Amino acid sequence: MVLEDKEESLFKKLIEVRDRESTKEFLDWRLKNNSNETDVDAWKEGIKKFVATNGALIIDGVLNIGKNGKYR
Amino acid sequence: MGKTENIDDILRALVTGYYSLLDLFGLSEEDIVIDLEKANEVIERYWRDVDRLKRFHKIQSIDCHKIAGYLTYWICKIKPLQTKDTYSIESNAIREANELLALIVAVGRINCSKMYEGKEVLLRSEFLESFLYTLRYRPLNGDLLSLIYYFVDKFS
Repeated sequence: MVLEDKEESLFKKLIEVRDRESTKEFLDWRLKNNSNETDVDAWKEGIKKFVATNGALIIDGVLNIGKNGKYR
Repeated sequence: MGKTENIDDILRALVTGYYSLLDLFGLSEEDIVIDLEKANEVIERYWRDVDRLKRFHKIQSIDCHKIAGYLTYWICKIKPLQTKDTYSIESNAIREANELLALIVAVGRINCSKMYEGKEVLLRSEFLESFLYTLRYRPLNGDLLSLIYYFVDKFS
């Protein structure tokens, strides 16, 4: 399965669980008060950009957590 | 999806962040599992924070640093990423999976605002190590994290 299909499959499961577990009142509130609606494609692009630019740093950072002793 | 499509943005970002994390460390969905109920709980708790800001503080629309801070807080608190059998996996990412997911999704959201200006957030290695350590072992709250993200953004 390609990445996009995997993402879509997981997303659908998350939505199913959300719609099953959330109260109608809460979902209605969110729909009514969604002034922070985000451009989700831009957000996904922002995530990919961050990982692409800082990927090596993140891997090194994880390896070195707590080892430099400068900050505890 | 239908009528809820416009409130699905954070779930979609979590999914992208999750797969980006797996890809970065060469892991699979079997190595790190996303708990569907906990992932939704993260978002519900985040929205209750937003609700408080709207109703009590009368803020109409919160900025990207608050979104990043509150999401980071709840991801680190509720920990939607779980591991099953770590015996054969040699990766530090397993232990820090939730903190990494929080960082990736949060900075991705700040980048999303900056991209329109052609900019992006760049981290320093010393900061990254300290921040991940602090996320895991120190008490923080969403507002303090928002302030940290604000400074990361301004000085990166």
